[in-house]
Amino acid sequence: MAASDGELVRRAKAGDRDAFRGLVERYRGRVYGIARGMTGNHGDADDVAQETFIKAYRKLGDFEGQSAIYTWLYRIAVNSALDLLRRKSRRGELGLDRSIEEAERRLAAARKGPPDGAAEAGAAELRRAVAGGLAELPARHRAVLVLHDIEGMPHEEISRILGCPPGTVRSRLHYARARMQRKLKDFIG
Amino acid sequence: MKCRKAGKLLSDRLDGALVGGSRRALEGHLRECPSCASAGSELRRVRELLGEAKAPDPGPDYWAGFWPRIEARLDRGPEPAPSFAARLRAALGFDRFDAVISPAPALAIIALLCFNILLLAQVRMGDRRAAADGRALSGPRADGRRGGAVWAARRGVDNVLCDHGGREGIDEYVLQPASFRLPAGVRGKTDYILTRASGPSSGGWARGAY
Repeated sequence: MAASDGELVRRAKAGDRDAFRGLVERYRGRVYGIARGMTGNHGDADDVAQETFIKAYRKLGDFEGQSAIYTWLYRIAVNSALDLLRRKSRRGELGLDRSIEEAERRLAAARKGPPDGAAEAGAAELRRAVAGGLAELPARHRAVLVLHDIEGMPHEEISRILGCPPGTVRSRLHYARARMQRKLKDFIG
Repeated sequence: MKCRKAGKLLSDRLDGALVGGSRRALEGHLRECPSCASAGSELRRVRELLGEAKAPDPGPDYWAGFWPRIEARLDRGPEPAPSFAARLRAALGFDRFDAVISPAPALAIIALLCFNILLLAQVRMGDRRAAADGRALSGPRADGRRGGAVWAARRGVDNVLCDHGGREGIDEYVLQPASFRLPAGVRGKTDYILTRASGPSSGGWARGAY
């Protein structure tokens, strides 16, 4: 039977590296998903995901269990992504990352299974449109849209992750969806 | 319920966050307003599209290397905190440049400031040097007492004692440091005297009477 989050956290705080690895492998997918949604490309998502777990390991002593460990991890992931976006903004590197297509091709080549050309092309085009729309959203609105509509988290969970009231989450979601509606009008049937 | 209010509630309705009277009112409005009903359908489609746009899993090869890279960084120990200079460069936006050339903009600004300070000092010193040998200072000719005083004021030269007895429009005046020839009996701080270029002093001196 797999160890509970509480057990893994207790052992990791005591210095058990394998217990921390257990937490990493349990939540790496969701952390990567959040990072990918926020940054729009695999390279930055990988940086953010790695950075999230490094920070979590170093700050594990500060985690007091007032929230679920995954809420805490996702909060670190969102903040790490926001930090990266701010750094890129200062350097004038923001905007749709032109390496998205190249990264997608590399990833597709690395995955197993026969390619489905038309479906892949359509999905890739949608992801580009969504990435483009997300890149134009203010960072806090982007976070809410990624966490709710892409990662499927409920309002209350998002409010705990972002540290804002559920009403603020709903308000940002409303605004972000309205912006995305204009961006995705070609895909709306 | 009006369309404007209905539009603001569509998002909450989509997420099941609308309850009670607000939900009933909105549903009633949507039954009667095709435009808002269409907007609601579009919003639902947007949410579906966003869900479909979730990036694919990066694959087993990526995940196979994920933990080893984290472990390697943990084994290296904590990264050193950025130095003050590095944080300052980042705050000023200079970190976009190579480490080799990042000091260049700050150094250029400092060099320009030093140059301007030196230039200003030289102009002031040049003024005083010219004044010390009795020649009329550079710039507009000290045409009369008033002209000399205006010229002095423009250059920030103050504490000027003026020979009041000269003939306006006739006598040429010279601005000289007070240490050069301070009239006897003069009281108060005096840095310069504005005196006639030739001929004896009139004996009447005044400050600020330009």
